[in-house]
Amino acid sequence: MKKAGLFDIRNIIGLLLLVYGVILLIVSFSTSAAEKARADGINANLWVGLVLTVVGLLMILWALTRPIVVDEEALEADKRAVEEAAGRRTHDDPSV
Amino acid sequence: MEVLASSPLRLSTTWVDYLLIAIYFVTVLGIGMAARAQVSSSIDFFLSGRSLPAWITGLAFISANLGAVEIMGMSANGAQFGMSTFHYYWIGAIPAMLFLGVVMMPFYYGSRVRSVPEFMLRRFGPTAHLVNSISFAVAQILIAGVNLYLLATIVNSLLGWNIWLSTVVAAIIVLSYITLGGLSAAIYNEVLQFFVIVAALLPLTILALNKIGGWNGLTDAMDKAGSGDQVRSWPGTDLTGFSSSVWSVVGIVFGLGFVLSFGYWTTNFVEVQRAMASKDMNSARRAPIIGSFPKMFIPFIIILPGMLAAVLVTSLSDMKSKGAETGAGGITYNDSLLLLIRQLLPNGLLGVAIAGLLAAFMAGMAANISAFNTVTSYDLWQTYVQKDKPDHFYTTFGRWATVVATVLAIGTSYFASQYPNMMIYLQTLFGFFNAPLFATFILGMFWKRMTSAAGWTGLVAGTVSAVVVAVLSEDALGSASVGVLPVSGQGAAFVAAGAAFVVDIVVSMVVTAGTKPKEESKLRGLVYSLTPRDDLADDHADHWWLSPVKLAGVSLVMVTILNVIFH
Repeated sequence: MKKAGLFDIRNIIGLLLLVYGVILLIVSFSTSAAEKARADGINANLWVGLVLTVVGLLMILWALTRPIVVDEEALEADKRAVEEAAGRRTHDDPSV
Repeated sequence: MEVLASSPLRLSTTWVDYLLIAIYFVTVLGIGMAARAQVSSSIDFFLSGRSLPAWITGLAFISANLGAVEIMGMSANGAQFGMSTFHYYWIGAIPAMLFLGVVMMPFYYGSRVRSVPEFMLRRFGPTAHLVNSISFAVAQILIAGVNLYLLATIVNSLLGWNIWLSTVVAAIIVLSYITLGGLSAAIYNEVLQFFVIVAALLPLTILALNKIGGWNGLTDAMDKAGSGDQVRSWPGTDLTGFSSSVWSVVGIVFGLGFVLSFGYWTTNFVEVQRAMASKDMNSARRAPIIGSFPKMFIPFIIILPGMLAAVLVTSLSDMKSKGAETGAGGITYNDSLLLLIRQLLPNGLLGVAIAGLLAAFMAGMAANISAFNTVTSYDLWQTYVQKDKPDHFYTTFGRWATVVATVLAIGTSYFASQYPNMMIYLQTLFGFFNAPLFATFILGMFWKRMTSAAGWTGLVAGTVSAVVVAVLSEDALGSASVGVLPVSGQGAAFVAAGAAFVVDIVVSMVVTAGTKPKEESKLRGLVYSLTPRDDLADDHADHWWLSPVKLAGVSLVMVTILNVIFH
């Protein structure tokens, strides 16, 4: 038994969204009036940056509180079963 | 700034945008390398050891489909035809995805096959298997070429790189992350790009809706532009090109909703492979059903922006009011989403959008390549050429197949670039390859008498009849079509698929009548009536959302409500 750890996909999604969120928040302070005017005065970078930061943090929190446990024995058994099935097919397929 | 831009699509990117794009690709390649460190046997490489939870495979399931063609093609269709494009999702995807989860998946997952052609081998024997494997491999390379071509045109118009340089660079990046990590990395990337796409397109839709004054603002603007009837999805005569509303509805429900979509979603191994990577039968069955929930809302961030672009972007609305195919600066409906992004998004969010689009376009191609890889290594090479090699031989062979497939895709991308409308080209290809396969599958699965000879003759006859209809139509195969049949556009693809389906069924029934059926003992787990009920039971359903059938019921009710609201 071992935990998926850093490579738990929720950590990867969380980190990427968090980094994107923070970069957008920083950029939002220098978003020009001309750029805001294109979207009717909304500072899109600020709002999207905020949402992404929060969603990213929630993803990481989810991964931390409910870690995925990989049952290695079950995984190995499953792999063996699949390989046996594949082997049976190639060696003595009765249907051909 | 606009004066400096050489093309109407050229975006004013800054270092922030490039930084966001770079972060994305470093992450994806990093996952590939990390995944590679854990690759042990060939089953890991191809099916990720069947260890992924249902929500990941569910998202990967729709993400594999969320490629260049879907994003650019559907937003283009939205700009040109309006709400009727939603049929591609609510009629043309959700019912088939639910059918796959509820009815088909127990056969795929339970029989532990690694590919759809392998299922054909066990049910119908080697001839049907060989026909299906070859046609599948060819289809994947053709479709990978379409994805690669679209990807390259985007890179070209966004960043200004030469189209051939763009094609080769894109191909190399796709190649590196498949060979580095196999299907696990591809699936991780697909889930990741789903979030990035939503992070870019959802704000884009909200900004555009806000600018036009909400849903009422959009309908008013469309009324004023003379396309007010496009805010209704039925009967969709613009979409099918049929003048009769009744035939248009029949075409959408039978051609798109039944043959094309069931054929695509239930027999396309690019999709099925995602669900096969689940950790157990229950997860495998729920993967497409879970995927159906985000899938029914995706058109709101893809088709709706297309419709909004058609009224917000001046050059596009001018073009539409004139009924023209190209507008100022050579723009077409295909460019709708890019034009809207260019008009509304500030630097920063622009980088997120480009990263998401590039990722989605590469994911589509990567999915084609990895499916090609599985079929070539196991179904063709291991079955017919070199049988008894050790496991690692086929893994190495798979890596080389990936390289060859990528090179071939560069070739077919040139071929794809010769076609004026990608959506029609693709629907036509699906008619050739998926519609007959679906007919053979469904017959073989529910009719135990169907014989091996009927299996392959039905497939060949179906494909041939779809090709004949496409050649006889006005434009389904571009200049190769002769125009004897008065059908064109997406309607022609629906007719070709319908013909393939019907001919396949008829030929299979006739051939079965004259040949000897297989023994029943050899069809256990392959034919519905001969599969023990236990194999189809909902084992671990402690809650309604853990039961595939109940979850599918909820999804079906929701999509019906959406159809009623936006009829």
